[in-house]
Amino acid sequence: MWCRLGIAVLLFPALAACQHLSSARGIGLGAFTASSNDLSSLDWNPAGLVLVRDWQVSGTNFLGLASSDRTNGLVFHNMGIARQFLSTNAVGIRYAPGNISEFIIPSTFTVLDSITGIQAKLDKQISYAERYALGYGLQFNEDLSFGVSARYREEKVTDTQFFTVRDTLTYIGTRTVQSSANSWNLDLGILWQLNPRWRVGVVAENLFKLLESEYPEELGSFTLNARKAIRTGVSYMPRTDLLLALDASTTGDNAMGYEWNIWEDFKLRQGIIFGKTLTPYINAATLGVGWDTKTVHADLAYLHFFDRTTHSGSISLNDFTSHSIHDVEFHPFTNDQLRFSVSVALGHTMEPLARIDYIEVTSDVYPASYETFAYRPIGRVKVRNISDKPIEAKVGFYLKPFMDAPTETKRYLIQPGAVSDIPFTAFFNDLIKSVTEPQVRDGDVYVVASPAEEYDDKSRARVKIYSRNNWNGEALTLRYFMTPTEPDVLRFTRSVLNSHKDRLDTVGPALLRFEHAKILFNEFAQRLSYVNDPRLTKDWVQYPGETLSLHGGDCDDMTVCFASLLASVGIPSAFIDVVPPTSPGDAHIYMMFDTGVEASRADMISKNRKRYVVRKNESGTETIWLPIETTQIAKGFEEAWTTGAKEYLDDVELGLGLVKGWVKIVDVQ
Amino acid sequence: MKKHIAVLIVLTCCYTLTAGEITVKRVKGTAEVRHGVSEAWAKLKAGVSLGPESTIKTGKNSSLTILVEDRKVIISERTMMDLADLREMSQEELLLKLAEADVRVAPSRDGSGETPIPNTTVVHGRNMAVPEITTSNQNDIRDMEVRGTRLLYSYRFYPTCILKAKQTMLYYPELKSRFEFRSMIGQALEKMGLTGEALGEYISITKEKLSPPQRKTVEGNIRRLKQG
Repeated sequence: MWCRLGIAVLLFPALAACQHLSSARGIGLGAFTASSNDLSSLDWNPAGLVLVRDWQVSGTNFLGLASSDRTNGLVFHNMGIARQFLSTNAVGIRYAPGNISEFIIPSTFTVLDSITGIQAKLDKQISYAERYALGYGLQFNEDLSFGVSARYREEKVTDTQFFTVRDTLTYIGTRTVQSSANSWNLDLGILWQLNPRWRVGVVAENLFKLLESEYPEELGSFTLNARKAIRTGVSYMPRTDLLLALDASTTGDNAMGYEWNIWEDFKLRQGIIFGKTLTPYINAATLGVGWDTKTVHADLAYLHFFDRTTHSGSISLNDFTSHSIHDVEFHPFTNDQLRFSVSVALGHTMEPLARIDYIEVTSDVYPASYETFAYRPIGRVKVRNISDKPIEAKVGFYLKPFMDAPTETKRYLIQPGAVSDIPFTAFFNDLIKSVTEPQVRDGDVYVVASPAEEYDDKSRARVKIYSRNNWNGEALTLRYFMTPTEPDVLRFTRSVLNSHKDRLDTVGPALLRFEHAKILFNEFAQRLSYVNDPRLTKDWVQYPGETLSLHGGDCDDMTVCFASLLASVGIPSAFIDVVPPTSPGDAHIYMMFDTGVEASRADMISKNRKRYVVRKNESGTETIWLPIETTQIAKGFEEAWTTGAKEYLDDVELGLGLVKGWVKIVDVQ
Repeated sequence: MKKHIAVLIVLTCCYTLTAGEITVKRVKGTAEVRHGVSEAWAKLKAGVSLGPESTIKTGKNSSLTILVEDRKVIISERTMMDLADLREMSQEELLLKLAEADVRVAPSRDGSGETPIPNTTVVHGRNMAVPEITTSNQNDIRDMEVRGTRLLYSYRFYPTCILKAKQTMLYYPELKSRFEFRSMIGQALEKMGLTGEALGEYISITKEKLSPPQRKTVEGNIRRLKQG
């Protein structure tokens, strides 16, 4: 008999799993492969999970309308939860106690159990269930998503067998034998948004099967015949209130339907299931209604089969043996039914008001000057108001692990449909100073539009981070290489000044700074020498500690190091950045420091006015600053001063570089 | 016609004559030159060419005649001046130079309230063997620089006259109360067409201690500029 049943399963036409009954919306539309966007994506197309916003909790009940008691009455079908995370990922998990089909194949004879005295019916009970399912979706980009789902399938055959016991008398006894076959079945899905109107979904069903246990060989024919198949779905929105959908499977069965937003939040759905493998060709019709709010989605669907021979609820041995079962729920014996699904969106329930149109990272990150990004924009975002009301939008930026928390801009008022260009900043932590090699990192950029409490749109921006020693060439940022409190710097200045204590004791307070600078420079000159950058690039700057330990550096390194030495003993200094307009390639940096001597006493420093610069501090005192060319380190303080003064005379006094803008003075205090 | 005049004025204002080569035509008595940032003075002889980075000074009862771009300039006795100041500047450049003082303002620093009191004098530089021809008295140097500034005015180098006068006042704050010196700045500003700046200068002068005739003159200038 088992052999005959097995042969029948193989030969007779099949009803493939073109339908899934886990959601009323899917049933109502009929074709849901390209439109699935909720937890039922676990069945329809796992890539649809990425369309879940934040949290979603859903549940489905159904009312079996069969005349038999097999699936009659109200049945709790499933309950599950889906969650979007990291903006492009989503997971879903479902428990479906109602996702089960049971078949009882009645025996043609009964046996009187001699032992118990009970008349036993040798019925065979077969059940298929998929109670557990989980899935994962990944959004590659705005248009393309990928997903994988796994369903745990439990198959069980309960058979009542008789046996004889030969003793002084021969007895007939009965026993129940239960066999099970469990497995994990994996589907892969892709969802492709061609444009705002067209969407395509492709699902490879039952692509992989991971066996946990199998039936004994003699029951192998009862294994659910879940065939591998490719199901393709297309959805099209000719109008904003109308959705048309079509599904086709390589097994030959298809479905099509529409969803019409008839009034505000109410939707009407209708579909048919058809195919050459089905009898009749148009096998079933569906009708559904839906009520969608921002938070709650409630759907009701009715499924009706035109073939009343097998879908009426009764089943016989002949019926079972003449039809193959490919899906736990949707098979030739599925009843007409009414399904009701409810899903609730938790967490983010707002419709987005703003969208990121474009992100531009306007500046690479030089770790030495990372503090500047707290007030100088690192990039800009074009934010579009996609609502029909004016919004106030602000932009956030977060780059892990170099920021402790996201930065946020002020709020920008954007009119409906308008685009606002919003610059954003970054507040880096000290970790960024540990970057030794240039690297590229992705930072999160998101936009929040009031009254939304969470981000309306989120995207990523690529940020290039240079090495801690890289410099962007701007004099303004060179000062960030200064480390006046670094132990090596403090040790150097203290030890040098202590060794000249006797000399310094004879110097009055007015000239003390001048003498300190002179001594430090000359000592600096003895210990260090001018060498080019190790990488032959002007964009490489050593920190003062490195210059001191390496006993040398180029003009940038020397200038930064000497300015740090001066700062460590309380002497303010400034960089003089010269970019000659006729030869920008000869750009050069030297420095000057404040002697603290008032202009009226300038003769104490020099009788030649061209050897110094008079600068006013905020308290209104004009003091004497001395230009120093640090590349002249080998020739000592006097020569470095003379050269620096000559350069300043040529650049600023005669060349008018300061007023013409090609000379900049950057205070480094 | 007005348009053509306006274009001419703009072109004139934009034209900047940088001091080119300067030739010493005649030296009467003693004159010295200091090149660039050097500390040392050297005696000056007729026929020598000088660059704009040089500073010259004349001794008592001495004078110096130089040619600046074919323009003869006679420097009288006991005068000190930078040759770079013998140049034309546009009104725009002058204004930028005046604003440069603000650009050069250094940020405040800790302990800025401390007043440094020198108790020693040091002299830096080379070739200290070259004798100075004038007294090293600071007041003498001040007076020489003031004469140099007046010379700039008399030769209509108004922009550099203004800049030099303001710079000199930094080194010698007592000049702020010199009526003639301050008035010269105001007049030079007027000559440059900078009425607002000139008015500011005159108003500033009224805050100094002035004699009645001086005050009357300044107030007259202020009234005139306000009405004009």
